[in-house]
Amino acid sequence: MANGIIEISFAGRGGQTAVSASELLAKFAFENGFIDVFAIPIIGAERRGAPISAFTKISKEKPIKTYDSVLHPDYQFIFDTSLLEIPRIRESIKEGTILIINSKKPIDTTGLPENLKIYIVDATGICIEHRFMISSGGILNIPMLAAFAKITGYYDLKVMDEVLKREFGEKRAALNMKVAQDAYNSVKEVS
Amino acid sequence: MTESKQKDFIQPRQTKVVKGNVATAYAAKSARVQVISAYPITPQTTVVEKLSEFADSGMMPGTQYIKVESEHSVMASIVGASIAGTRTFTATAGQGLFYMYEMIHWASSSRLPIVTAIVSRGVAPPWNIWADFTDVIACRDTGWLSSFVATHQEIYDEILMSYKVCEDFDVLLPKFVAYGGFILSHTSKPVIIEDQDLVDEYLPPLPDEKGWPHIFIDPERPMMHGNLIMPSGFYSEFRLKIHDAMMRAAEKIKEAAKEFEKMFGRSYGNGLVQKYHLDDADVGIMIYGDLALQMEQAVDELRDEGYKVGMVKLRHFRPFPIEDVQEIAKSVRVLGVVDRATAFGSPTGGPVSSEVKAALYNTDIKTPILPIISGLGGREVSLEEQKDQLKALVKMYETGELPEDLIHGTLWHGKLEVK
Amino acid sequence: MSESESKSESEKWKDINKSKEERPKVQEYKNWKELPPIPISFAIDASIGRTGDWRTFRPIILEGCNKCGICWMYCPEGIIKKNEEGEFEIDYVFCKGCGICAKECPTDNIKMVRESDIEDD
Repeated sequence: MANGIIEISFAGRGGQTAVSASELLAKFAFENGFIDVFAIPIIGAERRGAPISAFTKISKEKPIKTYDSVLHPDYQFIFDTSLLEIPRIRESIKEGTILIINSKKPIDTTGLPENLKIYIVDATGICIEHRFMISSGGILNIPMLAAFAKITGYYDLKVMDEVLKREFGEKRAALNMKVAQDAYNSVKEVS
Repeated sequence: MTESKQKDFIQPRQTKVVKGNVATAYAAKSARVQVISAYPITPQTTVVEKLSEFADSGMMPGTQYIKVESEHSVMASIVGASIAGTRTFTATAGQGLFYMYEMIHWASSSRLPIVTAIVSRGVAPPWNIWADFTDVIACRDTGWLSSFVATHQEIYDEILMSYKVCEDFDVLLPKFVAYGGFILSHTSKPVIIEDQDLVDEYLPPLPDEKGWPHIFIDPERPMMHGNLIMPSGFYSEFRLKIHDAMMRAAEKIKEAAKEFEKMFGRSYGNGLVQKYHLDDADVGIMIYGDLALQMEQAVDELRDEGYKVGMVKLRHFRPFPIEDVQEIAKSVRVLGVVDRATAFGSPTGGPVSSEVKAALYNTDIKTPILPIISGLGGREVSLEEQKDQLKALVKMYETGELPEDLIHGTLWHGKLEVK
Repeated sequence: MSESESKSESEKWKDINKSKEERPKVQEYKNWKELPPIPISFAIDASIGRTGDWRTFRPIILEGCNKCGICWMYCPEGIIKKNEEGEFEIDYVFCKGCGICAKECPTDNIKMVRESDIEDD
């Protein structure tokens, strides 16, 4: 945490909605009283399945003045366990980083720093159960962000509901919230 | 636009977490632009998407959205719409701006108050779509005013201020509002969208059916414009008038910024430049665009370490704030000028640093200038790198010597080197 | 700041904003400061003078014209007009003697005559 600014990193694959997750997280946090938020997608040649990164910075007190990306995040989202094999992502994980991983079962932590807090949530499973899907798989951002709400308390499900209603309308927000509720209830610490 | 339709359009003040490009679209909406013509090009595309969404959903009643097949046609149709007496808006970037180049001159030499957002990107080849101001600076001599924007909120605010300046009868020139591709365009931050009534009060009224005072389409008052002037005619004098209007615009920019601050409470220095901890600084750095916001933090952190450093954000490139630059250069002992753009073969290799040097010629100001080039083609410039740039200037002040690793007199900062 | 600089810009476009009847025949400006923002031509007759003065050869429509109208169509200056009887007439005040009508006439019924050979001008 640099200068009281909470830095969050997203690792996903094209189509797993990690970029929109970074933006939604900023919106949820701002709605819940953070004074400044900043969502940064790293955009290049977008392709389904290619590894992508996005970052969010949120701050309760000071305005955020840095535009640079996050090298060592406070929170690291892993939308797909295969991404943990990528050296760049492994190296960004520092001691004290909190990992939120989309996984059904505990992951192998060999080679990662010690004193990590690792949370897992079966976001893909929840999406399949609720048919909350697009062509490339589940819409993972909502369950992942609901898990983040439970872990951090930076915002709650009520805030998520309000923002989603405003952005997508009542009907779509309702389905989103069912998925969110399941993820919120099922996220667990495994370290 | 009819009175009743205008009423539906009114929105109260609200803060939204939006992408820079969406802030641009909201600014066009708040300014009640009457004609939009745009062609999508990365990284400007989401501006076009959002504006067409606004126009299609009825959120911009009275706005005509013209679909065209190229940027050349964008500016051609905007010039036509503006001559017909409307407030117009478009946005483009990089190669699209260059494709538009011929019509850009038609806009300025017809003295049309068109505002255009430039989502600046690197110039190809090799293809590059990330922040680099070489595109807008390549239009330096077109007779367009141009400004650089550092934050999401400033995009919205600067577009509103631009209409106020451009539509002033003493100015009547078009303007570019440039911001870095992706760094501002695709990132999200909270932006205040102002109350429509207040924006209406701030901006000049939309042109009535008689159109602009100097150019119009009216069968009762027929005119021919764009005709031939022989070398013995007033061609040179009309060029001089454009330059004169541009120089007068500096005062108007200051007035617009002052009035904006009074009305909306957000300050942008004197409009032309915005100083940050410069009053007691020994070492100053001039910087523009998105790099400026992060540089504020670099200045803060160096001040915490005890260095007397300060920064000035260059907001306008045309008109160039000559007097401000002279005053700033005089007030510091060393001045760095950071360009996120290139001017090949110019005195410094960077367009703004060359201008700064030119502004100091024939004065008694002997402050050494260090031209710095940084962040080309969207290369990420970290906070640490910006602190390094400041430290290089501090060292220059302490030792009285230029840094060693200059290339043709310029510090090309952050070059990749394999160790 | 000199007097003409302090004068409002709107002074400079007052002629432009007049209706076509009220506009001056000739726009006169002393210097660059007095100019309107952009160069404008007004729609007035003979804005660049009486072009009939340029003529060396005069086209004359001879007897036997079949009134096909081809000369009227081709005249680059638009100064061939149809009268009430349906005959074509050339306005010699503006005809510059280019000869296109004579060249295009399908019945060779337009003759180009040297101006100095014409006695009763």
